[in-house]
Amino acid sequence: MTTTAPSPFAPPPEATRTTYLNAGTGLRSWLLTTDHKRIAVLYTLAITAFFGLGGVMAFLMRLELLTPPSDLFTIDTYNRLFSAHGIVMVWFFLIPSIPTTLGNFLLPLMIGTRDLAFPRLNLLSFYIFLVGGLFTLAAVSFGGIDTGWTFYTPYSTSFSQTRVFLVVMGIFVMGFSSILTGLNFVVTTHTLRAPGMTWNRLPLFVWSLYATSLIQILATPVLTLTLVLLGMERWFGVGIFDPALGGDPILFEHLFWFYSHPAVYIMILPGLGVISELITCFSRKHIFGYNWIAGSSLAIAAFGFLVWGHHMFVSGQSVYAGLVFSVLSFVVAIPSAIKVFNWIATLYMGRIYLRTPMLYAFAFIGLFVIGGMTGLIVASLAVDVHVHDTYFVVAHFHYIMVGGMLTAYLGGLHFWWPKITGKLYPEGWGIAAAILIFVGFNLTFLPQFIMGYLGMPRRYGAYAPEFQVYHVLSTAGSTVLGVAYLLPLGYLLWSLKYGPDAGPNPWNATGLEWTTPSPPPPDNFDEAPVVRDMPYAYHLEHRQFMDPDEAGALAAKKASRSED
Amino acid sequence: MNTLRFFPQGASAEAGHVDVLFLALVAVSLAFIGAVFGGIVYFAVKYRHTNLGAERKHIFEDRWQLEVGLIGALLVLSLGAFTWAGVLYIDIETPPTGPTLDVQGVAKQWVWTFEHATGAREINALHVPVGQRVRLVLTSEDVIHSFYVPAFRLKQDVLPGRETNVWFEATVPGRYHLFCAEYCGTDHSAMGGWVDVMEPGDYARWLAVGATGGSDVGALGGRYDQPTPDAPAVALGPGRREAPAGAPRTEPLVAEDASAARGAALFASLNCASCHRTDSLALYPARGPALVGVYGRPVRLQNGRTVLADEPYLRESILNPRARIVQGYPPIMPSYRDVLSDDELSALVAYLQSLGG
Repeated sequence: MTTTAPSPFAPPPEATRTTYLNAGTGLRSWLLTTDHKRIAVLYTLAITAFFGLGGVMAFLMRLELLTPPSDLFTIDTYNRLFSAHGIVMVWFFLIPSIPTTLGNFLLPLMIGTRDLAFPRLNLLSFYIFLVGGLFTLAAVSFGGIDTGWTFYTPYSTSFSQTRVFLVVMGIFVMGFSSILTGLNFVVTTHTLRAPGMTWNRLPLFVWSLYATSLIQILATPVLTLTLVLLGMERWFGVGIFDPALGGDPILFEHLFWFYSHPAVYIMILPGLGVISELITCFSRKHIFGYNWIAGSSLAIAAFGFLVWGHHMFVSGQSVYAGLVFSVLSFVVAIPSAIKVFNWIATLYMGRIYLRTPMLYAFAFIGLFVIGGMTGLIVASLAVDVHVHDTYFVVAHFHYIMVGGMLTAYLGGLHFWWPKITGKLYPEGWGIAAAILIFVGFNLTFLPQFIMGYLGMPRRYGAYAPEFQVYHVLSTAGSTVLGVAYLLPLGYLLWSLKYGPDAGPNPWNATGLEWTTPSPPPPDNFDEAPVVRDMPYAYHLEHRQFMDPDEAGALAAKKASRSED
Repeated sequence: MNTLRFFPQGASAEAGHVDVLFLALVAVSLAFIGAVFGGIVYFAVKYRHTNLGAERKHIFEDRWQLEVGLIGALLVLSLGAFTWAGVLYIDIETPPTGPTLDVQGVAKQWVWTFEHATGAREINALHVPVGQRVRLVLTSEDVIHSFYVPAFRLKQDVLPGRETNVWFEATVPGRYHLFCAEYCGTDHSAMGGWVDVMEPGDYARWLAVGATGGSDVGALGGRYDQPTPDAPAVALGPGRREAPAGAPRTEPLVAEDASAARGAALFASLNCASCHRTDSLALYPARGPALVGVYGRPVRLQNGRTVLADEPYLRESILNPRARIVQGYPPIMPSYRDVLSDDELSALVAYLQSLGG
């Protein structure tokens, strides 16, 4: 390191300021870093690569589905494509996405501390994640896996002749990364909050990360054990799930969904937290119902553990179990509805800026509500008997996972991009991409609701010709969506070199992360922050406009117009 | 069949009830979605930052009355929807009180086999009379499958090692898709066929003919539309099996190669290639022995003996596959007795002969 340490008395001029980006150079300083911000950057690179991979697979599937017969690929290849798409997207993009990137970067900054509670554990989590990912990539490259991401037994244990071992190992390993990250976040939130950062001043994004981490700690071990049992049966013939060996295949479904339904909330809760931050900032208004939004995150985390059986209404589980899981599934939707209500109430009497992150927030709310309402349709027992395992369900969960989670991730990425990189992205491109993503997404997935109710089963590489028109629409939409996703990749990278400097707080936002320079120094804050305000104090005079001079300019313009 | 549809046909007693519930849920959903989109757009325009004239007051306090009221209203609505859907579900899942027509169904990779009370068997097709309650007793011989007839709004997973019952009453004669809805391996998307709902008289006639050896086209689910013998069965979509119900049978064929061509069409339509692979490039070993060049060659059996794959042996292997099993393959093939007519059996053997030997 050649730069001198910053003196607390005379901060060096901007050009030579030490940031987390220039505090060490060379590959080693990145690969062995314990700085949560650098680890967040490493994660961002990794999950972007996994997202690209999963996205290409999705697009190849959409191409195959342009025509009814299985003609572009063999049916075995198609089965490998949808399996790998699901596995890569769920475990190597959606679950780590917001917590390990934005969460890793922002949690210490938002609560006013220098790093996570266990910085080296954080780095370990990253490498565990990477090893898990490489196992999975190896499986995809050498033969693939054809069980779907759900690994239903006895197909996965006694019948599939594909790389089940590598993939199960990959997910088994990755699970530990998820557990350790959750643990790190919970301990950090409990022990490292700055003076004055009381629980009721905690940013809502931190609340959502906290709730997410609890699920990660409590649910992931169940997945780990389930995968061990799966392995015992597949490699040692221990009869657990396969009736031919004396096992019960429904047991696997229960164990799998006991993790995988809460995992849905691992994926979406951080997104809900991001949206709370965006809505209040771009409405220049205190968030409406802070306590209710924070509490609803915890309620979702708790109730999320009690609804797994709604994946099994036609599996042969008892009718009474089906009734209980159905009613609880209706209940778990209420905290989400509370959030949506409070976001819209925040807009009321706000001062709304339609900047890129706000467009993503609006898109999120709309798509999340569509995904949520169709979730209730799927939770309705008699209807689920018809739509279960059809494209209706496929469309429903993509509205939550892609329309919801990914939109929130992009919104958050744009919002904190100036903080992370110190650069501003081009606003025009940002708005264009956000609109294109919204249009492309709906064109891709709205037709899937219709063909789902018509009876198009999922995981079909060849299908009856009457469904073709909807598949063609969907593939057209996915093409638009694919192009739209490339845009942010382009202009965000462009902004790294050519974007104007952002300054510490380009949005004039509240929150401790905006009180430190962009990009932040290695230790986050030049002096230890103390919190004296309520959160989201956008009512204060100097916070009411994004640009403090704007009020005067607008008033003058209005006055001159009325004179004309 | 290729007309654009927005809504599926309904052909069971429950279908109409499920549709009404579904449309009601869609209407409520659209109301909520409309309110949210409308609210966002209205506020975004009215309170845009350039509109200095809009009335603004800062509201901090939690309006708990609003939140609690909302929770209460949503709970009431939710419980209403839950109850409606739950009652209908119990109705679908409860055994009917009156007499039922019982049909046994067996799923295996990637074939549905149904056996009627008279002993009539059919593969990838199910014939039922209109207006009569049918009880299906389903089981699987290997992995989890799912019996799905969209027109009946009915789906039930079929598990290995367990018998699962479903009930339905078809209300409209016609031919409807049968799909496998639970992913079950390679040919999951081709594991389907047709449910033929017939007038009771037609059904009785079909049963009489089908039970004596199946000289009616319906016994094979009408899958006679495969004129090209070399179409790989792996690429079959369910829709490619369409043929007009009750299509006229072709005249008995005399010439050897014509018989082989018919055998090839049968081979494709019965999906034999899903186990007896005809492509040599398959990544993984097939589930059944390869049949190219088998005719007239000696075959090694499970018990160590050797048998000549001549016409009697091949006929036996189709009608009673477990009699003499080829070494290295599990005894998993279903019997095609009562499914194939004598004619069709000869055609299949002629096709196997044409594959070389």
